[in-house]
Amino acid sequence: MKCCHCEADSTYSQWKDTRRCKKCGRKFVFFPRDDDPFSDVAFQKAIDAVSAEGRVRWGVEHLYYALARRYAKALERQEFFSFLGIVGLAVGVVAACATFVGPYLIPLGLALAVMIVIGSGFMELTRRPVFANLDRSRFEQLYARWEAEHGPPPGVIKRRPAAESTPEVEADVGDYSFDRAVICDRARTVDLLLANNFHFENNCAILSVDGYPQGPFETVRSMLKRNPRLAVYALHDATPAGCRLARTLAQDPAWFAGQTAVIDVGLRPMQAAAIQGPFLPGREGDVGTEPGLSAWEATWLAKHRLELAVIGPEQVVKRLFRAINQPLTERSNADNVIILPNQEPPTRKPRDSGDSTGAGDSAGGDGDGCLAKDAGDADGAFDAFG
Amino acid sequence: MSGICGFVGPGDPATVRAMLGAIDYRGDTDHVAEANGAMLGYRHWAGRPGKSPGIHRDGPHLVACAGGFAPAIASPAAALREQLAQGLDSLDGAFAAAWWDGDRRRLTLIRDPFGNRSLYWCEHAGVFYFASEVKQLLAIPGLPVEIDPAAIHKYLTFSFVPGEETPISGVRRLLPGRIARWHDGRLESEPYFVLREQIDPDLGDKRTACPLIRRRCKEAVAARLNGEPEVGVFLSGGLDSSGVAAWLQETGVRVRAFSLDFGAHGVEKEQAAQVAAHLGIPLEFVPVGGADIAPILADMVWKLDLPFGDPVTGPQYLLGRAARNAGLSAVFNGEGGDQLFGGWTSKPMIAAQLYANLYGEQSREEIYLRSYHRFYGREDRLYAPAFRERVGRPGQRRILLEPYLSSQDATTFLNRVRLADISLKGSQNILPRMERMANGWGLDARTPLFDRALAVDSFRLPPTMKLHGACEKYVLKLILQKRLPKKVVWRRKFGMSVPITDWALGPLAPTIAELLGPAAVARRGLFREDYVARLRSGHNDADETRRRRIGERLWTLAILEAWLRIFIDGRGRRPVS
Repeated sequence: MKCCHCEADSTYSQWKDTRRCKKCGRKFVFFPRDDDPFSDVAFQKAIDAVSAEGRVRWGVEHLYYALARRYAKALERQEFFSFLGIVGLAVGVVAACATFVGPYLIPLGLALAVMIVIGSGFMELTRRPVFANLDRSRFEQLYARWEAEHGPPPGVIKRRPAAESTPEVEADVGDYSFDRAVICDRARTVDLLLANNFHFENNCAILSVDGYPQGPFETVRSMLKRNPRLAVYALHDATPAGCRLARTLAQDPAWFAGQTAVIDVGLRPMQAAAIQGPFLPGREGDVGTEPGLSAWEATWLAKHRLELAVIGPEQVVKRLFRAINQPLTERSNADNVIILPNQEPPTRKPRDSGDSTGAGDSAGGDGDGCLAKDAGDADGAFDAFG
Repeated sequence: MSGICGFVGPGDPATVRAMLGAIDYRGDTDHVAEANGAMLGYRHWAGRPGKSPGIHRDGPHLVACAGGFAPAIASPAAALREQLAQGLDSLDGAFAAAWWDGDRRRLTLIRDPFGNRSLYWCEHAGVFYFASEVKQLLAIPGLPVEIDPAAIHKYLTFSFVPGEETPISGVRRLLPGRIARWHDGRLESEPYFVLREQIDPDLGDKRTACPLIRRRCKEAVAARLNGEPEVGVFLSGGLDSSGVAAWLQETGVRVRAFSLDFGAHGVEKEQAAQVAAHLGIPLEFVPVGGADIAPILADMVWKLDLPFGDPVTGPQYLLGRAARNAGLSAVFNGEGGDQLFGGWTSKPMIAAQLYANLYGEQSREEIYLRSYHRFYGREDRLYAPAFRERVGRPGQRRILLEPYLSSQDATTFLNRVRLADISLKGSQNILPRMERMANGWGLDARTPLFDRALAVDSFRLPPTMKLHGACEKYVLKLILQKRLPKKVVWRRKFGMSVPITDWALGPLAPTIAELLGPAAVARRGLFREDYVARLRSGHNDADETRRRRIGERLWTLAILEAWLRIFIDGRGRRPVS
């Protein structure tokens, strides 16, 4: 078992008594032999990936999905190899029979059949939506064990107590406004954007629809009323409630009714379907035909949900930056909501794993600004401000 | 235009000649004067109006003055002592002056309120030297020339070196709006101009505020005309330079506009054309591409005198060349509008302030340092360990900001940020680099919005007359909406977006590679080669969303390396092209 600190590989006999690395002597946290789903190295790699080597702030939910994806892939592999085993057994049986029928015809047909079966099995596995099979409470236990041994991982977002987080500012600060506002369906998405300075980089208010962050919430919301040209973006999970967010904001007088349209940057189901998952199961009956939701979206939501946290933190920030800076040509619909032009029916490939760190520059200029598409490591053309 | 220098003590007169020779592009005429233990030098273009004709001598007194006052007078050097005697309450302009009182054996140095003109000083071998440019001091024989790592550290945060330090150990700067006296071997300085917020509630009414600010703007422009029949204006197509063009036109002087043409990357070209057509002034577009920058780089860095890491300097150099080729001697610009009237830079600060401390302590100063978007917070990635150890104590950058961001001279957040922007970004970056790029072509840079009376009145305005909701420079927009096309006035700020990333990764890549390639980085020993190589290959940081930052950071590093080669390795001598 490899040590995530010194990379020394200890054999079972070397660690079984001490549960420590043979070289540096530090404690192992996870033991796949004891039915832990991950090794220390895999857990550390997942942390490195979500935090971009400690340079991006992230939430524990991002780590959950990074690990859930690995877990699902491991299960997928297991399933595929079981399937191969069954095919192999069948081939063996038929080949044995063939020795009694004819030497050439049957083996050729057999080989063709095997290729078709394996190919279709592989296709079926890659097409099938990946659901999050890693139990959340189990993940939380794993995370708690990791944190107990290593402390909070670098970059993980920790809120300060509410009393401490109310800023003391000069009175005039509330007299101004913002160029943009991103309103989220979850407080943790607000945390992700604020901790990564999205507000600072984009002169952007960031709030959750349910009143987070509590300290500056009312001040910020009242400031938004002072800009008649405010650009408002709704950012949400692909859930029934998330998909209602833009419409709620556009029609609620406490938010933007009569002030401005709201741009829904996603995740809409069409965007979510282009992402590889892991999905959460939908609930039949939770969603039906309703204003602002197409029949296809309602059907999709009845079967799946996708949390924004599936997308890696670096990519959420970069894709949102791209989305809010793309030239907007669409007009708002009757609900005063603008749906971005990335809502065409989903295609199977290419799919996005959600955790790409990207190597090159995304041009960002294809006009879609879709949250499902990798933003590379830079924004491309839309960087005229700031 | 023009520059001064001198020494107090047992210096060699040949040194003053050498110091004047180091700034040969600042004039065609030298004047040297000596009196009782001191020697002063002055280099200028003979015959230009509003400038001192030479060093003024009055008995034991010698006065040398680079630049001029606003409003202009015939000889600032002759008038300086009287101005000092009257008090400095209204002294304004773009000047740096030295007065040697031979009776009292006292040297007085003074810079204009906002820092258009510079003054540096050092002591060597028992002699006190001063000069308009750092390269003049490097002409002092035997002066040790070594980098100050703490100043380089600040440069890498701000893209310029703020404060009294310079990147050369022992060479210091007199800050803008200050007067200093060298006497008995000691230099003591004090501010003679401090901006203080004195909000007048009546100015919250635009019917009161607009006439006042309009009048001040017009006076500021008129006060900077020295009798030239024709002047130039650098017209970006934004609000401030367009306003200056409009007010210049109202004075009756002939105006020619110059604007940058970045080709396909242009942001405000159309607006510049609209403004020029609207005002009926001739406009010359100056094409600028990455390939135009490499051939001028060394001369530009040499003339900048200090490292300025904003990529706007290359285009400014080319604008200056175009204005010079057009036969002009003075060019106006719109710098200062953002600093005085609450431009877009206030807004990220406000956003950050509202959400501060949610996840950890974050001081206002730290937020402000981040707003420069260079290497603050990225030191571990960029700095070689040996350099990191030499940059000095923590907190030295924050301490530069505290007098402004926590100022007792202002009560509002906006004005505290304005104070920091004026004092640092404006006075120590925008103004000196503009002055040097203009002077490099023998042009006098006129920056009327950095006007003392206008600035004082801008601090009487209620802050919402500057930032009105999310509308920047509100009062300027109100007073210009009838003078300029409304689309230009009310359009959202874009700023001069130099396509530096496309240049740095394209036509400038060979130059960048020469300055920042592995061998060059290793030889200099300041930076980590892997981080610089990553930037050069066009990869952004994981925590950076804007592609333009790749080019800005590369340019900042490249300018520093070019500056180190000329000023440290080459002791400030003119580079061989």
